[in-house]
Amino acid sequence: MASTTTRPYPELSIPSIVLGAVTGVVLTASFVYIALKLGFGLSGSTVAAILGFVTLRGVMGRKSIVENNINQTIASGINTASAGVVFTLPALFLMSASDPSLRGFTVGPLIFAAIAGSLMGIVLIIPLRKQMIEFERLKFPSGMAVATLLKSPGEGKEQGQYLIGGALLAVALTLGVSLFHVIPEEADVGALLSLPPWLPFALYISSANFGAGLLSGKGGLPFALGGILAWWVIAPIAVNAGWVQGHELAPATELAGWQAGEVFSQMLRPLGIGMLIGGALAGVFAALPAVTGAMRSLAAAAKSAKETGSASEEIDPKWVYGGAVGAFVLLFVGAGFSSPEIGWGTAAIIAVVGALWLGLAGIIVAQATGHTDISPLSGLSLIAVTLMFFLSAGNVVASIVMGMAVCIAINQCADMMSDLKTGHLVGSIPRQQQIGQLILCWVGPLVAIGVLYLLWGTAENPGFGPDSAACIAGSAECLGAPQGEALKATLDALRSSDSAVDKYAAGAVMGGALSIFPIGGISVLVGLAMYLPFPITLAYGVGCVTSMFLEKRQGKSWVGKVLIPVSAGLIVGEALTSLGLALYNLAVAGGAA
Amino acid sequence: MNRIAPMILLILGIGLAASFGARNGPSHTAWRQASWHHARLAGVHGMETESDDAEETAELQKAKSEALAGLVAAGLLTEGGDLGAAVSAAEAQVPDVPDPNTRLSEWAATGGAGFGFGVLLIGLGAFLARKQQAAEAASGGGEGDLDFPGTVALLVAEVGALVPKADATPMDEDAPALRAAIEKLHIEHIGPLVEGRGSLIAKHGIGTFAEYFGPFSAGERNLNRAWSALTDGHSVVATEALRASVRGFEVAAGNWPKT
Repeated sequence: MASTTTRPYPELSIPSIVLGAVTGVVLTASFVYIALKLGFGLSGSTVAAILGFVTLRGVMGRKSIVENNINQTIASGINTASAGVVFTLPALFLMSASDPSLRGFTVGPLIFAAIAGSLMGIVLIIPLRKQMIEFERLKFPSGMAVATLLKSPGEGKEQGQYLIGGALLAVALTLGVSLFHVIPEEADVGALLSLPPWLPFALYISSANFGAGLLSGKGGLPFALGGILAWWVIAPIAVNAGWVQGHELAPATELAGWQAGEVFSQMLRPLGIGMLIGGALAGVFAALPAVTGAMRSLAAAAKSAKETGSASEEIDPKWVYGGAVGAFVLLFVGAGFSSPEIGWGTAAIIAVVGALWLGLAGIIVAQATGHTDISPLSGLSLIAVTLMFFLSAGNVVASIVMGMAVCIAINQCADMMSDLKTGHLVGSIPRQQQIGQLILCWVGPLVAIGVLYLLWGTAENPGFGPDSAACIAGSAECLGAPQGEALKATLDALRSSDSAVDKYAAGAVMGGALSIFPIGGISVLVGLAMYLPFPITLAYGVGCVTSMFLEKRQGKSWVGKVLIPVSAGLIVGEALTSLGLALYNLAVAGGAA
Repeated sequence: MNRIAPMILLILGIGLAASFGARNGPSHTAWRQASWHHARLAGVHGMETESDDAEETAELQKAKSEALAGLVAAGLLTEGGDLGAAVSAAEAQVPDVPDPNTRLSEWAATGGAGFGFGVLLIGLGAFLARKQQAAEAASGGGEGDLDFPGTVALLVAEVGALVPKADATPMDEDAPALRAAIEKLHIEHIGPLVEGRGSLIAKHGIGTFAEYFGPFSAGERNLNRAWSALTDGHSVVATEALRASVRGFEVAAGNWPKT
């Protein structure tokens, strides 16, 4: 043994917890504000990993890749609450402004439900780590990108240059599209060929989307093929067979545009959601032996560690069971106190169905993110609100409160699994990551709800409440809360009984049937392709095909040494530039996105 | 041919099932169309024509008169007709939103048969594909020629050989050769087993597969940990991780089904 003196190798350490928590709180507060203003959320993993580099490795001189992985896991785990809260809760605030009957809600049940969602998302996804990361080998492109970033000190100089090169390319592309507007958001070949909008042929210009396709390779191909089927087969059939009618005297462009919108919103998108649900349900049944095996393995590892006095690599299942029970109780209490009209019996039903849906939706989002890096969060959250709306006999407050819990939970599922993928690639101990995310799961909801209340109640700028000077004056500094407005519109539609149950049912049957086919994740990939706009799917598919071509031509070794760092750079570069642009828009341009 | 048939059934099945699954019933189509007519009229009716800027006001008024002309051309409004009254009339013609039961039953009547046939084709394709995959796995053809026990034994030996080298590396010293050796193991041995895991699942079922592939993955993760620790100059943790990796691969080999 050559080493004379050793030193600790920090992993779940005080600095990683403190830095992760501070970064998470700052990101959550910032992203709540950004999402209220611009209408989209951001992932915090990349930013947290880079801050970890600067602080832990640079300033504090702590050389530990796995410690930075913990820091990034905690920070992004806290930040997941921002999207869950901003997508749902503003709708309640906005509706209460015009409907006095909705003003009675209090902050307590909101916090209970939000923390319940955050906790339940983590404990439900923990038993699936082995299934998704080790057996299914889902790619989680962003998780891979963060792992490449974390491992960069050990990669060769050349690979570091590829990573930076990819990131610089992404910066240039993102700035060209979003700031200087010299590159269009879509390369619309269809418009050049005068194709109607219901036969689209356009590529979404996004380095992250293309990079995710490059990282997915052959495995992501069914996603692109699903999009092609949806838009180059089903849409033309639907229009030409007269399934989507319009006024015959309407101008041709207007009619074609309306038909394209109808095909997407009234046919493909709900059918895609149904396929995701059916695929996930079938996947749960198919994976049951592996999941029960995983739980047995967790228990055996914990027992063995206890007997030998060593630390287990897997979390003790008691944490999982205890967390699930605790989260359910919080969910039940949150539902019960959300509105005076909700009795305890109804609260119990809401909590049970909410927990079941949350688990299923969490698996769907984790799988979709794992395959493609794209999350169908909004669609599944809307279904959650719909479910709660019917279960609570049209109680808006209870629907939104429980919808928020589900939204936070499913976001947490995807984030936890992506971080675990990063952990697998850098060799972190899963237990350390899971404990890190569990012990601070309450922070994000508190910060996100707190910031929302602050921005609602203030008369000063910025704000989005009825007292906001900017909103009263109709100025650009008013926070528009676009996602809250979208949910409000959905709830208004629900009040008029508009629900695509036929599409959900048909899609679920299809998703279940596709799951029998021995192609991994085919129902999720095809369902997601129908759910998303085609330019995204097509550009992603171009990435997959490019990756397959390069692998065949250059070999697997080249893919590992060149293509993966370049692709990671494309994802990381766009994430950072988007954040920078969002901050720039807020600070300099007054929010003009 | 055997491989192509299930894929053709799958593609045809998805195409049919999704096309008919996406179809809406007559009540829904009528509601959407009437809503669109109303929205078109209401959209023009709600167009602003006043602004603080005279030039802008002129543009707004021009846009609205063009839109009105479009409505007249589309037969939604008579020449010089009252737009407000037309909006009210169109709103009155919008039928009630079809309730979920109506949507479901009307969809089943219009698209149910085509949809059902499509699902049947998917099921048939899946059956054939699974049958073919199982036959290949049993005969050792296709991806089933993976030598999991042999490769894992090789990994045990090669990772085991890295342990003394890591142990001999001083703390805080870079060890690029060791890291390169780990990367080589990933590309040459671990990668192909991961890629070919589908045939292992087909051969043993997911439950048995999990029993040996879980420890195998733990061995792989510990190999990654050794790489990270070597990068961080921590040869002690790297050595421990390599030993844990060997243990993982040994358990995987031990859990490989004997028959």
